[in-house]
Amino acid sequence: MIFKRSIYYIWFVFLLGFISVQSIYASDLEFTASVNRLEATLDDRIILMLKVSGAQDVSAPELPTLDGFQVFSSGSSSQVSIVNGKMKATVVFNYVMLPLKEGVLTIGPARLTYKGENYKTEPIEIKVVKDKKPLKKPNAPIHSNNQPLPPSDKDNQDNFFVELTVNKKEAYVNEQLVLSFKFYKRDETVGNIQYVPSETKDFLEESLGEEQSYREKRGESVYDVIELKRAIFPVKTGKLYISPASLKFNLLIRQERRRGSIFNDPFFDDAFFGGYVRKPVVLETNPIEIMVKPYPEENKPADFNGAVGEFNLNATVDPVTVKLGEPVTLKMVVNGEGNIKSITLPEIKEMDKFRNYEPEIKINRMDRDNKIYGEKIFEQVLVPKEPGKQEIREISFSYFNPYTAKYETLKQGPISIEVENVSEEEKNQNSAVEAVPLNQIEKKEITLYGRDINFIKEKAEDIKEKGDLLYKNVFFILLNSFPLGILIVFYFYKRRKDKFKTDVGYARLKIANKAFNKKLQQAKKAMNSGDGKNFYALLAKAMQEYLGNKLNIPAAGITSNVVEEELSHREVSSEILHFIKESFEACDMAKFALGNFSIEDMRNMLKKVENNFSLLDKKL
Amino acid sequence: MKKNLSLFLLFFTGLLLTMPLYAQEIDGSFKQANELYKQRNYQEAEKLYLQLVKQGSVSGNLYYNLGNVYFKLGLKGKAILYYEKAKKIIPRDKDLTSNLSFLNSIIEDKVETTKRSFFIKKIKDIYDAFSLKECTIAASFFYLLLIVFLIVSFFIQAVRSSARWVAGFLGVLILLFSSFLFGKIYQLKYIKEVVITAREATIYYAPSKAEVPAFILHEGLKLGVTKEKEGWYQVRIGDDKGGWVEKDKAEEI
Repeated sequence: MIFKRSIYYIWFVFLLGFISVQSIYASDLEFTASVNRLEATLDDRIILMLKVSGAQDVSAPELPTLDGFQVFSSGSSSQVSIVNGKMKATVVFNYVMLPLKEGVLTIGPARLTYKGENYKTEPIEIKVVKDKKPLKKPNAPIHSNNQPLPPSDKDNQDNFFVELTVNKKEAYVNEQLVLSFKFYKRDETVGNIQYVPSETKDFLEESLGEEQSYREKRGESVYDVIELKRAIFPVKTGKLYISPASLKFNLLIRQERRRGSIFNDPFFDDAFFGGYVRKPVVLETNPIEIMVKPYPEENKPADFNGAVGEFNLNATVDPVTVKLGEPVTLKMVVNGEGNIKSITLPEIKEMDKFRNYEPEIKINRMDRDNKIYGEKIFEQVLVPKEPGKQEIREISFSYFNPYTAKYETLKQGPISIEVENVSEEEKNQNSAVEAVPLNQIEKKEITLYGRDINFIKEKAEDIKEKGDLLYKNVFFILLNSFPLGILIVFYFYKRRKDKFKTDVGYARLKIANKAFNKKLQQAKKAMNSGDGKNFYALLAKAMQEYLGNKLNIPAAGITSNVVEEELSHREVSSEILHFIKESFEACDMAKFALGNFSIEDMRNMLKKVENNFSLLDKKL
Repeated sequence: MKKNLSLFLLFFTGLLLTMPLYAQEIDGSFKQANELYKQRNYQEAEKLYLQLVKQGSVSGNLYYNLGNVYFKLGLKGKAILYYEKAKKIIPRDKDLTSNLSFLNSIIEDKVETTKRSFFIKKIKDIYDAFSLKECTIAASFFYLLLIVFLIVSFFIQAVRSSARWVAGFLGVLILLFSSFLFGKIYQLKYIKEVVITAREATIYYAPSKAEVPAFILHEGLKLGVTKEKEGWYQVRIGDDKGGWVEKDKAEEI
C-alpha cells in the first residue's frame, strides 16, 4: 500500500514540475502587455505597451486583434538594469490606440517569437464609455446618440480624405522640414472635428501659423481644403518615424424636418426632434518615414554647434566711444531660414580685454514661403578693462547648409571702440557699474528633473601632479622603515638589560672577563710597586672571582676541590687544572711567607696566569 | 643621539617636499574657469578645466567641477565619468556623493545592489570611504604609533600592563588599513572601469560591427573591462553578462 502511494506522490511532483515548465515564461524571456488606463471615453487615447524583458534583439511583436480600435505605432525604447549583479535588458514597444466604439473592447494576446520560442501576452479588457460631460464648445450638439459607432464608411471615400505630406524625405539633423496635414472635403457639412496630430517623438516642432482654408482641384472634383502646417527638426540620425495623423468628425446628414421653424436650430440635433443626423467618421493618413543623415565630418568648423539652414550674421557695437568702466552693447544678429530657436551664441575671440555678461536674447519670426524664417538677436554687455583703442577681434558663426551640403562660417569684425581714460575719482564712482546686471538675466534653470545639482568647488586645494602616489614615494618608504630599525635596536637592548637583571648567572658570566682583567691590572700595580704580598693576594682574588663568575659560585666558595670538580665537567685539560691548583697554592703560601718576593717571579706568575686563563676562557 | 636627530629631520624635510606645491598658475586657470561657469559659459569653462587636466593636474575638486559642467551641457555620461574620477580622490565629499547619486537616478539604465550581507556591506562602505592616499597615510600612521608605543613600553613600566590591549587594537587598525591599501593598489593596477559617454552604445557578442548586436546601453552606465582588443572593450555588465563595445563609446575612469 505504502509503495503504491509513494508512486503517486512521485508522479504528482513530476507532473507539477512539468506543468510549471510549460508556463508562459519559458526560458529567460518575459513578454507582457499593459495599458495606461482600463476605462476610456471615445475622446481618450489609450497607450499600449508591449514589454519584452530579458533580451533586446527582438523583432517587433505581432499585434493582437484590436477590434474597435485604431492603432498607431509610436516607436520603441530600450533599457538595461543591473540588480544585484544580474543584468536585465528590456525593450518596450509603444502604441497609441483610439477607441472607435463604446462597450467592452478586448485587446487580444500579442505574439512574439524569439529564438524559436513563442510568447504571448494576456488579453486586456477596456471599458469604453461615452463622454458624460456636455461639451462646452459653442454650437456643439448634445450627445444623445445611442447608436453604436460604425467603422469608416467606404461610400463616402471620394467625398473626403486626408493627406499627410512632408517636403523632403531625406534630411540632416536639425534641418527644417515642413509637415503638412490636409483635409479634403466635398459638398458635405461636418461638425465636431477632432484632429489627432502625428506623433513626432524624434523631432522638435514649431508651428507654422494658423490653419489655412482654400479650394483645390483634384481629378474631376473641386475640394474644400483645410491645411495645418508644422515645421519639424529631426533630433537624431537614422530612420525616423512620423505616425499617422487622424481626423474624427461627424458627418451631418440633413433629414426631413417634422416640426416648425423653431426647431431648425441645430442645437436640437436629435433624431427625436428631426433635423440632422450625425454619422461619425474617422480618417487616418499614412505614416511617414524620414531618413536623417549625420553631418559630414570633413571640414567641420570647430565652432559648429548644430545650426542647419541658410543664415546671415551681422554685428554692431553701440556706443563706439565710451569712458573706461562704462558698458557698450555688442549686438549680434543671426537671421535666415532654419531652427532659429536653437541657434547658439556666436563665438567671440579674445575677450580678455572686456568683462562680459550674460547676453539678452530676442527672437523674431518672419516666416515666408511656408517655412520658418527669422532672426535671433544676442545683445551682450561688455565693459572695457583698459583705456585706449580697443578691438573686438572677430565674431564667427558656423552653420551647415543642407542645400549645398557644405559648412559655412560667417565672420564679423574687428570692431573698434575708443575708451576714454578717467580720473581716479571717476573710476571709483563708476565701480557700481561693475556689478553683474542681474535684472537683465532671465534665470531659466533646468526644471526638467525637478532639481539642480550642487554648485562647483571654489578652490582646487588638493591639486597635484599626476603619478604622485604616496606609497611609492622614496621618502615615505624611508620614513616608515627607519623607526622599525630603531624599534629592533631598542628591543635587543631591552632584552639584554632584563637578562642582566633577572639572570644573575648570565650577568656574572658577562662581567667575568672584565672583572678579571681589572683585578690583574691592580695586581700589576702592586707588583710594580714591590708590594709582593698584595700582588699574590690580588692574583688569588682575581682567579677566585673569575672562576666564581664563570661557574656562578660565590667567590668565597672557590676551593681547589670545587674547582677541580666543576672544571673537569667542562673538558678543561688536566694541565690547566694542575696549573690552577698550583697557582692557588702559591698564592696561599705567599700569604704567610716572610721576606721579599722577586719581581722576576711575580712577572712569571702573572704571565702564566694570563696565558692559562685565556686558554681556560675558551672552554668557559 | 645628535646624529640620529639630524638624520630624522632630514627625512622629515624630504617628506615635506613631497607635499603638493601650490602652483600659482594652476590656481589662476581654475578660478578663471569657475568664473566662466558662473556666467553660464559652460563650453568655455569645459575647455579650461580640460586644459588643466591635460597638463597633468590631478584634483578631486577639478574633476567635480568638470562633472558639473558636463551636466549643464546635457552630457550625463561624461558628467558621471568625471564624478567617478573625483570619487577616487575625495570619496566622502557630500556634494559629490549627492550629485553622483542624482545623476545615477536620471540615466536610462539603472544599477541596484540590495542583497549584500550587512557585514560585507559595512566593510565595503568603509573601503569606499577612503582614498588610496588616505589608506596609505592611515596604515603608516597607526604603524608608527604602534612602534612609538612599544618603544615607550620598554622603558615605562606603567605602560607595559596595558601594552597588550593597545598593541592589539593598533594591530587591528594597521591590518585593516593595510588590507584596504593593498586592495586599492591592486584596483589601481589591474582593475579597469569605463563609463559609457555616447548617448547610445551598442553591445555586440564579438568585437565586430558585422556581428548581430546583443543590446543597447545608454550613457552614464559604469562597466568593468575584462579585455581589450584593437578598438574594442570587452565589458562585464553586472555579474554574469558581457559583450563588446567600441572604445569611442566609453571612457576609462
